[in-house]
Amino acid sequence: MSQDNAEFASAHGGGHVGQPPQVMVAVDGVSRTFGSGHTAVHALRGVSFTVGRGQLTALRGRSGSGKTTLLNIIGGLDSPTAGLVRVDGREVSRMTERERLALRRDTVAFIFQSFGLVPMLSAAENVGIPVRIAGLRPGERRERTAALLALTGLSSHAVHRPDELSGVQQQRVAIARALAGRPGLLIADEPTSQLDLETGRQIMELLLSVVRSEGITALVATHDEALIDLADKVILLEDGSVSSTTSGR
Amino acid sequence: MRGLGVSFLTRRARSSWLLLGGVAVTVLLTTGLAAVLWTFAAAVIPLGARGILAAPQGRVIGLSGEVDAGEAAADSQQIRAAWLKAWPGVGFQMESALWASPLELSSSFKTNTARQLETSTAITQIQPASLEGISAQATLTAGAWPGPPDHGGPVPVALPAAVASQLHLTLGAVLTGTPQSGGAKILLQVTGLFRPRNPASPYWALDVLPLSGSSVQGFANGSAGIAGSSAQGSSVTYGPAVVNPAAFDGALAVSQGSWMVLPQAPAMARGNLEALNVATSAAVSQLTVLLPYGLTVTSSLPQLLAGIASTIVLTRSLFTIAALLLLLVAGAALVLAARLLASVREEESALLRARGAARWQLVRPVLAEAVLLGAAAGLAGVLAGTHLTGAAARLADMRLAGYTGRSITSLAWLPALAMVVVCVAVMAWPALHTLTPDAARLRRGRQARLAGIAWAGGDLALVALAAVAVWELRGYSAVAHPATGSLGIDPVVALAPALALAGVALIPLRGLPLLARLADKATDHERRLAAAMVSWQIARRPIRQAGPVLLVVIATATTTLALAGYASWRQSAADQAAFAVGSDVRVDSAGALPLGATGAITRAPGVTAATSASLASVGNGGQLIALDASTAGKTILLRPDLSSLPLSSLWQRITPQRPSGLALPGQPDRLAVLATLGAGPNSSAAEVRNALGSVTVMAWISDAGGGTYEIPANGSLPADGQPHSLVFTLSSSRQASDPLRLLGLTLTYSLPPYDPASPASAPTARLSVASLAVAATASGPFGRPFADGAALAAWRGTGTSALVPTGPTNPYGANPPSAGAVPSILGWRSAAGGVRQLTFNTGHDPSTAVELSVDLGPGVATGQVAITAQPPSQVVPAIATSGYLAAKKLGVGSTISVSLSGFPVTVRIVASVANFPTVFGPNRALIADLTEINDLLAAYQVMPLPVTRWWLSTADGQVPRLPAGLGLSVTTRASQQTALLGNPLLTAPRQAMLAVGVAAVLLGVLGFSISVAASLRSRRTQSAVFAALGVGKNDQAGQLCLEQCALSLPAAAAGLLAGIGLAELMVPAITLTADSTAPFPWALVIVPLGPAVALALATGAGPVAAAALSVLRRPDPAAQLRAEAG
Repeated sequence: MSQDNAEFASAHGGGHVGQPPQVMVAVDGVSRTFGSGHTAVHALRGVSFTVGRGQLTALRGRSGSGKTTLLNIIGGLDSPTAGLVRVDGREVSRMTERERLALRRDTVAFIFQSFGLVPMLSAAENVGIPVRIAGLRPGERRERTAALLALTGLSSHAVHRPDELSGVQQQRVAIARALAGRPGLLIADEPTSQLDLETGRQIMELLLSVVRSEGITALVATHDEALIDLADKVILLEDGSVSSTTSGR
Repeated sequence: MRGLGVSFLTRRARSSWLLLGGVAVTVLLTTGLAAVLWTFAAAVIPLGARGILAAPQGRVIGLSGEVDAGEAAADSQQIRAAWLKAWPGVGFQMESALWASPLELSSSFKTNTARQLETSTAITQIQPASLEGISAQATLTAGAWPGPPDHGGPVPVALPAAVASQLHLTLGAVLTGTPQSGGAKILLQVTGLFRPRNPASPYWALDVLPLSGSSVQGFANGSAGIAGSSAQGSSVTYGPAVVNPAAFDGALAVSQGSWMVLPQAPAMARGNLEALNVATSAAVSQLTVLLPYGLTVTSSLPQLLAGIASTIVLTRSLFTIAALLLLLVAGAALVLAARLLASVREEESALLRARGAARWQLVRPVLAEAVLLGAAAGLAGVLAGTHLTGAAARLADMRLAGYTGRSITSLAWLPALAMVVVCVAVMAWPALHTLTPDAARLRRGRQARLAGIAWAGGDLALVALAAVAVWELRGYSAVAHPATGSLGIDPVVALAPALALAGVALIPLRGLPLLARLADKATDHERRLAAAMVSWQIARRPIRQAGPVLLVVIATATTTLALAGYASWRQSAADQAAFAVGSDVRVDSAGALPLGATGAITRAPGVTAATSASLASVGNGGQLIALDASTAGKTILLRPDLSSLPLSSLWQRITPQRPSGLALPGQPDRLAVLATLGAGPNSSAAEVRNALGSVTVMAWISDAGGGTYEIPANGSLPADGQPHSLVFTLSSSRQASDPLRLLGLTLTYSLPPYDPASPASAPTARLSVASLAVAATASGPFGRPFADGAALAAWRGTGTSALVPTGPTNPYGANPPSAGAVPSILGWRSAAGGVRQLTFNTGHDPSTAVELSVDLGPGVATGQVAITAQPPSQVVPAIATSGYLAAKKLGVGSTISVSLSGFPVTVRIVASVANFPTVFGPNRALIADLTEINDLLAAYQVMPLPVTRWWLSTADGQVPRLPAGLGLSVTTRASQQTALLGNPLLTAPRQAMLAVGVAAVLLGVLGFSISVAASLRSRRTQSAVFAALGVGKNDQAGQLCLEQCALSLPAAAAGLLAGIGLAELMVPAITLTADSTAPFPWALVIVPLGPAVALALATGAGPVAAAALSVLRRPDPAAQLRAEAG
């Protein structure tokens, strides 16, 4: 049994009784093919790895290596053609659409390359969306939103709309929104690709600090060397396959 | 920037196919419907005009004047020339007649008519005439048409059969006539009798004596008219005595000419009616001074043409209203689609602008796209509309004049052109205002809260304009504004609805900022995302949402206005018909019918209720309508809003509590009164027998409807002191309107001669009434008496004489009195055995000397002694119309005296009505109970009001089978209503409005749905993000539905309210009669709430359904997020 497979077994129930599995994400032999026949595109080919709970894992790879596809599959936005994915002990690849929605509401949060903010809403309102989805009372929502804006250094920009904010501020809002639902797993897809080096680094540091402070598992697709330096684990994807897995720091 | 060519255009169009498709469908639908409207209008107007002109009675022109033989031919030429000039291209028929002076007939020809003039000096005349072409217009019932007269022989004449009957003439009879101007007597010999083939034919306009042999001519004194005659002063002229034209060469001299001119309807309908009207009036003015003594021109053609021209103006105006409303809705839909399109392309245009594209380079492809799209859709719309007009006509049950479905009316291109222009303008406008990329990006986040038009004050300007239009329309009637210049429409009527609608629809834009603030506040307290998103969408994108909301408001208001206009007009037609007729069916007779015949009307099969009525003049243009108030509630179609009281209370106010008289049990055929007439105190039996001889006895009988009839006893009552059974035949055919009542008994006798030997006394007589019995059969024994004389105890006796006293009271000193004595009542008391006795002084003639002095023959004066029931009331309660109250300066509670049959009747006004059915003109009428009035008149032995009208309520409004031979004329509400609704000039524009209402719903739903689809498309990324946050597509679809509900349903409700408000303002001004006059009674605004709410809901729910359909899409959030990131 390889180390990854052993960890997969752990994720499958191999932890201590009554304890959450130590492996937050387990990917086993996942393939994803778009189209069929001679036009088929094999985005992922038998990808396997695990991400430990509370770890920040960086997913490296060139454009088109399958990073976004892999993240979407882990987050339940897409389904693998083959293979198994487990998140927090639950098998995502066999979930119904309703279960996947529940997974995304309760366990997984996304940070997008394009920020994914709602233009007509202010920073605070964007952050409050997951709280509203969770159905918290308005008072709790306001407290949570204010705390997250303070955490991300945006207290003074709460009423600004996305188009009135800089790129880094928008991404901070996106991070705050991702944390608002108290997720177990944070999936970030190239969160700094639209930012310059300095602001990208700021975002990465923020990401690392909130992962550490909130005890969240993070899986971050990036080719930002700064983050790779900060990551607990680095997985390199090449042409849809894991070419290497290394421990960071 | 060379890339902004055809391929750029094609690619860009492909990416926005939905919005461009929406624009194309809007233009197609609008131009198609507009083409239908215009083609319809072009065909319907001549059709309607021809329909109204089809009745020749309206077109015919009658001319007459004093001429001699020499002038007549020249005058004919001038008259023909005048009409040829007035009506170029309009053929016409012209006939002429020559008339001799009336010839006075000998007194032996004094007919009933002359006698009805109640003067012994009435002259009977006959007027010979030669009528061109009469043999084609009349049928000989006997003999032959007159030939040329033999030299020295009588002039052959043909008479109307009715005239011959009046004069008791038969074929071969010879009349001797004396010319009015004197001269030798002229002999006329009857060689033929004729009757008109069609009394209503315009040909009879030639007849200067009203309508030969068939018409009724009213006399000045109100007595019944006589066919084929006219009466002036104390002469009655009969005719025409048709002679051969050759008769005017010798025996007769021409004194008068008459002409009949009848223009052709189809040619006239095709012409310019306004110009024809002016020319006709000018020709009439010219002809009236043609002859030395003037020419009398009789025609309603100028008024008819003016009425049609006015109606056509109204028709065009109504079509224009429909077209403008359609254009408004379509414009709103186009603006919405164009704004969405511009919004979709905003960033793309901004990018191109940033990369150096000149403004014209951005505008040019938009213009090309708009022109191509608008022109193609417009052309398709015109073609489709033109071909669909036939189907629309079939749907509207109309045959269109000149419509083939192959040729396109040139007018149909106008709306198409207008639509293309609007389409190009609204699509190109945003391209002229391209933003910078930063501004475009910012606009995505924070939109203006007030629309540009509102910032510019354009909405307030439009609202002000609409307010002016509405103000003008209040109290405005198209009737008063027939002149329209070259427009051919009434601009106020045509523009006001669209202006008002646009103004009303824009008002909510001012409320947007407030609404946005409220919605924004609401989100803070929202716990759930869906509700918060709805509030945000409304609060943060007010301008974006205003477009579809505005469209729904306009569409729903248009639909409501169209429905209200259509329903109100139909209701008005029903009201007008009900008002003109008064009930389901109205039956009129020229004179009173016998008691035994009225039941044939009131109980005819199919009649569910009947109200008898009598009309009488009460002076100053007012009339009394005396009717059976007890049944009026079931028959009279009085619109409730015309009465100040609920209708049941209204009728109750004038219904007598208990009619007077003695009720006759069952359905009696005969009445028998056992009576004795003998000597009274101080008179001997012989004296009374000699003085009275035989007495004529009349019974006053009232039927169920209040009609009162004098029924003579079958034999006279001898004054012999013996009991006699006086039998009165009430209804041999048992067709009286039961139950019947006995109101009185009248004894009429020649007054006894004056006795100079005993000048102060006259015989006293005694009438004893022992019992009364009825029989239900025409023969056979009577049943047991149903009452004895004591039943008449409450009655009272009166003595009268029409002719005495007369002359000087005492021309020869104190004694003897010579003016005659009126019968006088000495007592009315009970006797043994239930007998009731009336003791009276018989009265007597004037003395011989007085009789001679006043030309009163011996034995001519009569006396009447009557016993009559007490009237129910001395004061008759009545309802007055507002016109009557205003004219007399009276109010409810006032008392007034009116003269009926010369008898003063006190009337108390107990209620008022604004109008009363059948009362037109100055609207002056009193409505009272017929029984109440006739009982009162009968109590004073005054001639009762004759029943000449019956208002019937019938099953399904059908005409009941009525007896023939009674000379009844029948008018039905249904036929009147059908005539009104069948007028294409009024029907077609209302149907057009209805079609526009339906199109408005379609355009509203289409526009809003496209907006929903565009909104979905613009939210793809947001949708993907929400999916990533765990919001499923069902929840997102639900949120979208909620959002559309929050927008479209209030908008539909606002549109509904706006439509109702506009209908209240506008419908009365555009609901007119066939003559383009204000309807009587005024039009009520009817909003069919069921259909209006259903269509409003459909308009509001359509977008919600479109939003709900979004659940069917299969979003791929991962792909969308990849694309967004890429």
